[in-house]
Amino acid sequence: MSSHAPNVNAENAPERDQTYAYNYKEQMEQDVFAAISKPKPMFFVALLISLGCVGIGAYSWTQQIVYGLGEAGITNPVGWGVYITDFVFWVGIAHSGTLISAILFLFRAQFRNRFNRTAEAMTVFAVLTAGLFPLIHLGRVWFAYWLFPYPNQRLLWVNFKSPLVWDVFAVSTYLTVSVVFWYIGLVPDLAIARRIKESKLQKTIYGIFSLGWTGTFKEWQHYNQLYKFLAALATPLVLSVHSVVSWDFAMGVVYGWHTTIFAPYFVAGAIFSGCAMVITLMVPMRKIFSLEKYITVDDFEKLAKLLMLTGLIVSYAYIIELALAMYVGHGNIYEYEQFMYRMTGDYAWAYWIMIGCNVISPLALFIRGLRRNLLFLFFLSIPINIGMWFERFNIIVISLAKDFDPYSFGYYTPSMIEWGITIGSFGWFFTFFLLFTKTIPVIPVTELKEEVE
Amino acid sequence: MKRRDFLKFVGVASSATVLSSCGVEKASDKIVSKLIPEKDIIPGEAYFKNSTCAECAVGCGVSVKTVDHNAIKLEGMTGHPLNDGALCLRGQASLTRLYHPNRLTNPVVPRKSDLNLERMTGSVMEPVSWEDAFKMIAENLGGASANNTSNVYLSGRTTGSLSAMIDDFCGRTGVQRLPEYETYSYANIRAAYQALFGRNEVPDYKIADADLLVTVGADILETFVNPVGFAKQVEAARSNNQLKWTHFEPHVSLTGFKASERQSVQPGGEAYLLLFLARYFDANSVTNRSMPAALKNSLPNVSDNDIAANTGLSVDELNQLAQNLASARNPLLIVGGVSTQQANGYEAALLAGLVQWLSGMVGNTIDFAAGSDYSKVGSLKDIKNLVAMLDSKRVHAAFVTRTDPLFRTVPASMQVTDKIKNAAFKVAFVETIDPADEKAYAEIYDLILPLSHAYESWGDVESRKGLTSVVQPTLKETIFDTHTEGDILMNIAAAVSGAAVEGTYEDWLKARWDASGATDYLMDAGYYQADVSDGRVALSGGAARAFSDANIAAASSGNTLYVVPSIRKLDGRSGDLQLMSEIPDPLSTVSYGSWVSVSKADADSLSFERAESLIQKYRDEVAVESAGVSMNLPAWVQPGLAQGIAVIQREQIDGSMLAYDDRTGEEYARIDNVNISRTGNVVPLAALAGGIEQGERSIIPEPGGGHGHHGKVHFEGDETLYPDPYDRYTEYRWGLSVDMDSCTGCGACVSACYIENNIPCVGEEEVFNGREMSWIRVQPYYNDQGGMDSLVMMCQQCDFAPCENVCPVYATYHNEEGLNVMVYNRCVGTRYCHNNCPYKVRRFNWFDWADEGYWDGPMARMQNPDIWVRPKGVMEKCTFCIQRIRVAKDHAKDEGRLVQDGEVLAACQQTCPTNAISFGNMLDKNSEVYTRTSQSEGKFRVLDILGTGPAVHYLRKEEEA
Repeated sequence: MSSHAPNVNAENAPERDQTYAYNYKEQMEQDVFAAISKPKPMFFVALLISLGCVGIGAYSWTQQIVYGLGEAGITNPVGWGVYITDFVFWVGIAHSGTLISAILFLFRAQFRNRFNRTAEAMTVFAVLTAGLFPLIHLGRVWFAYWLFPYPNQRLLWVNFKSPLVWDVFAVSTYLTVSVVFWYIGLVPDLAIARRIKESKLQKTIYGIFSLGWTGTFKEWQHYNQLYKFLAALATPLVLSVHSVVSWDFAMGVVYGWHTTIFAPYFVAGAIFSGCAMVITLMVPMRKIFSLEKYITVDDFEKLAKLLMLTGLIVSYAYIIELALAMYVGHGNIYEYEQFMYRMTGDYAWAYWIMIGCNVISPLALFIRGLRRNLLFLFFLSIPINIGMWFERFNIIVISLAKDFDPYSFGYYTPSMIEWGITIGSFGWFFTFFLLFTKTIPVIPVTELKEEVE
Repeated sequence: MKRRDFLKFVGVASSATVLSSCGVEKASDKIVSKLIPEKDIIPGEAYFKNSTCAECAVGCGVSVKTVDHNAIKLEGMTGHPLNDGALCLRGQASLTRLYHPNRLTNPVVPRKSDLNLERMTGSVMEPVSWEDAFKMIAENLGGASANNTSNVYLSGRTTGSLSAMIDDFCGRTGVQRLPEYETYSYANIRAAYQALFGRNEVPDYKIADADLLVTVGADILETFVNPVGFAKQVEAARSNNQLKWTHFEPHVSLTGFKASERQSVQPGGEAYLLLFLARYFDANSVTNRSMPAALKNSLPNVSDNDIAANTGLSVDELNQLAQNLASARNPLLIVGGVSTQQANGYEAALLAGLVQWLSGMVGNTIDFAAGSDYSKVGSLKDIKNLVAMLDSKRVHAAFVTRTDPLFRTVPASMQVTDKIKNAAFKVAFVETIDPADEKAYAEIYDLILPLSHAYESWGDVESRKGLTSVVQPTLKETIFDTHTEGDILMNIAAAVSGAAVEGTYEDWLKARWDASGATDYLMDAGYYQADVSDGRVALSGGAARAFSDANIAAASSGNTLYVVPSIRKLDGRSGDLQLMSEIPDPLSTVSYGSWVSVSKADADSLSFERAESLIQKYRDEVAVESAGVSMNLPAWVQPGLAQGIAVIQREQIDGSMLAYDDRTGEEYARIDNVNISRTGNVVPLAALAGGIEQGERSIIPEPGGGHGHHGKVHFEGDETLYPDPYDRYTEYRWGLSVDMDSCTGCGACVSACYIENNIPCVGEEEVFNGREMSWIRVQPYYNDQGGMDSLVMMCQQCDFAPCENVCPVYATYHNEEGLNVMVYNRCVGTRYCHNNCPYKVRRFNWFDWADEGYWDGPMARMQNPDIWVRPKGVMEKCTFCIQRIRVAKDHAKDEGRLVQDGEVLAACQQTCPTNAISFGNMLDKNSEVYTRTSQSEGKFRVLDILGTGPAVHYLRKEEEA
């Protein structure tokens, strides 16, 4: 790598001539595609660990299917536990992908070009992971197809009044659009891969997936139109999918669930956790694949600002939730006691983990030096991921543990099976992600090239 | 294909079909021929057979519901003088004993040689044939005369023809019949009546006739004498005579909480209280009865102030009580339970008898003519005699039947378990043997014979004098190779004499019934009421003598432990019915396991770690020490208990702590000078309640909270912009009401629901995990005034049910009759409905309970064929016994009419001893449920604020405006 590589950051790009641009593009192509060259042993170790986790998850799920959901810790009155927490967590992770690629694309925020490929990949894999949990938590998963409206002789139909059915549509739509959007953006890069890759097999595979892309003017014209269109289509989905997920709860009668702020609250939370996950993934990846030149500290700082903003929105939601419960106070004893219970009851530890991770820790980002410290960002993003997991845990579990009738109050302790499946879900996600890093350019080459035009 | 090949294939295929259909196993008795139907048997149709509950000695009449020769449900026999349609929770659950997995299936001889082996493999029980068993007994009976010892026959309380048969058998074979052993033998009460009136009996307490009831210690709603009948009578007296009921007790009991007024009395203070009453009645000449001078002089001389100090009540309060009793038209005083089972319990019983005599209750509300038949029942004194006989090796053969064969309920100090081994030959007649107890049985017995269950047997019961109830088989044949006790005795007698057996016990029995003219009554009505002798009694001249050695010395210091009978297991005899562990105790909501109830004050002074939140089911462990014996138990903090008082259930106590009265042989329920300390451990306790105080939650709203609309049912006239839910219903809107004032919290409804709806027991671990499957439950809520309300909670069948909207597959939906029905086989198990149910009455099948073995073996025969056995992953809940509604609708449809009121009884409603539950069509303005609901002033619906529109109304009198 050239020691006097210019700073190519969009805002302060120096004057450049054609030769420079050409060299830079060549260099970038080489650097990025170096990342998807032959894997090092460490890759296989990582892949093996991921697959091992998948194995743990598969074993746990098998146990649960064979013996029944009692293998999990969920019980009366807590009918949803770690599984639905995981579901919302992964759907949340899936959020920033579309945010970064679609919304920031429409707003012409160029820093998104460094992150969008990985973020979109993360979205697709996270939705794939999230989609497992509605199945895992079913009592009779072998009848999962009943959740879809399919024509049948008995004229049985799904209940369109149920938020769970909305969920089925929201998540599957989101998955479809995310995959299409991701793939369309990939096509020019796949064409480059087809050109660069030397083995016949690779050339053929990349050739098939690049759909005969030759880079003509007309192709670019159509491509740009389609990409803009898809970005516009995906944007409302960012808001809708997590709103719908939040309605799983907000439409319920349980206090702690039944509140109107849930949709924006969940969307902000999702972006918050999604950005944190992007940081968690990108900081090591940038280092491992030596992409420091292309993904700069400035770019990360922008992401950190987004993290800070959504963190503040989430904190605001917590305050509103709590303030409303306290304001009505004994006028609505169920809601009041629910929030008192969250703060002081059996699960207070979970509540304060959430507050510490999601409210306190992002405040550090107000300090510019910390915002620009990638190591700090990386170590900050992990507690935020944990905190956002606990946010969902608090909402789901604590609300159910103490709802209306004192006789029915009950405590929930997750079982090993639930942890096994949770570990499995991480393995599942990272397996896909690792395969992604070795098959697809992790940063969009063509879009970075455009920047230097 | 060639024609030949085709024929070959057809030939092979058809012969294979024919052959394979030949080899089927012997047709099960479920298959009933329609061509030649048996008398009155239509496959799938339910038939009711009268019989008598055998779970305890009360002898309530039951109607056994049978379908295809399987008994599937017990219902109290309508019109039976004791229980009139009702049955307690144990009675309901007793059907599981018929199909119990631990039933002894054939006669066995324990291999004693195996007992000393380090590791036993398999069973120590060696099966033998009945003939060999009879022969073995006959040979051994002869041994008694050879070495100048005697043979003895020990049983639990036996009445009716079986008692006569035992006498006949003992007479013929020279066996000595011992006084019967019952843990709750009412020895003090009987001894007191013996001393006062010469009647060694438990009289009939006519609560229904009373307008003032004072109970001291007697847990009349739980276990005392005839709890179901008493509950019915209390209810009748409440509605007919505006019964006022005050209950005095030193501890807390369900009965106390359900009385109009509950008063605490100091341990041992009961006798003082009664002494005060006796003196009052004598001094004020309330009736024309008065004490003879000798009697008056022999009464303990205690000042009023001492009495007040010893009872913990003020003199004014005592006077008020006495005046109330004196001024009541038909007062009734019942003294029993823990108050007669203590060191001065005999004195309490004597004084109680005296008060009852002086106040004119005897002969009015206390009837000796129709007393409970305890004539053959002995006491611990008789057990002591038996031990003396065994000690001196004067017993050769011993028969033990229908009592506790391992003598675990007998105080350990008597060492019966060891001493019985001195007898040369021991035979037990049992129904079930817990595999864990096999070794204990083998150590004692030489032969164990399996008894047929009551519902496989012919017999009768005469638990109340003059009242005979029929016992008849309900199955086509016995499930296992078992016999009735009568048949066994006839066979043994024949084997002894060498003659042939004279027919069966059934023949003998029927001849006996014919002789007394009871046959027609027994076969038609199920019971026979004979004329009873005159119940008039007079104060015996020797009554004063009884008081001469009376000592009513007061309570000692230190903590007092009360050992109380359990409403679920009595003395432990129903402990082998899993359902009786699964259904929680009504006061503590503890299901499985042992615990000790301690007071709040003691919990504070011991600084319990886990006194506050009940959500986590771990409780502080305490060590309960008495007389050098120590038990470590989880502590339940029981509201209402006075400081220094602890309560433990009878079957959970270490037998070494038990003591008894030397004079009467009554077992003490009170253990003094008990030391209770915290061990520092926190241990699991499967108490189901996540909370027992409702705080401000208004689950049961404050009275007078504007909830009642007199003359209207709650949903009528509510001003709302929402569409009227009742517009949807055309013919039926099933509704239910629970009368909070009548409900005794006994849990019979819970038990009935389990049996009716094929609800499995999940076992201790899963109950602890919160996975009990009960569709209906009794929730205790303690209030600051020291009271407790039992809230019966089942699916509320809401008009706007939160569960219905959220089901993605329409597995639960609202039917046109207002029911929130559940399509089990459509359910995919998202549990969203359960989360969204504010009442948390939905139950999820976390496991496949059939796979877990609950329905293994004969238990499957108990399944109600009208309702599915739900597999794993499916949500289930109460639907107001929709299967019964369906049957009634079918009948109504055949006759071209609507279902009439009273035609459908929900299982919970049917068994309720106080008729607290009514159920029917809310659209029918004349239905019982509608009229009762509309007339109730203080009715409410639980969590009405949520707008769910429940169809269950809770009724009560408006107490405060």
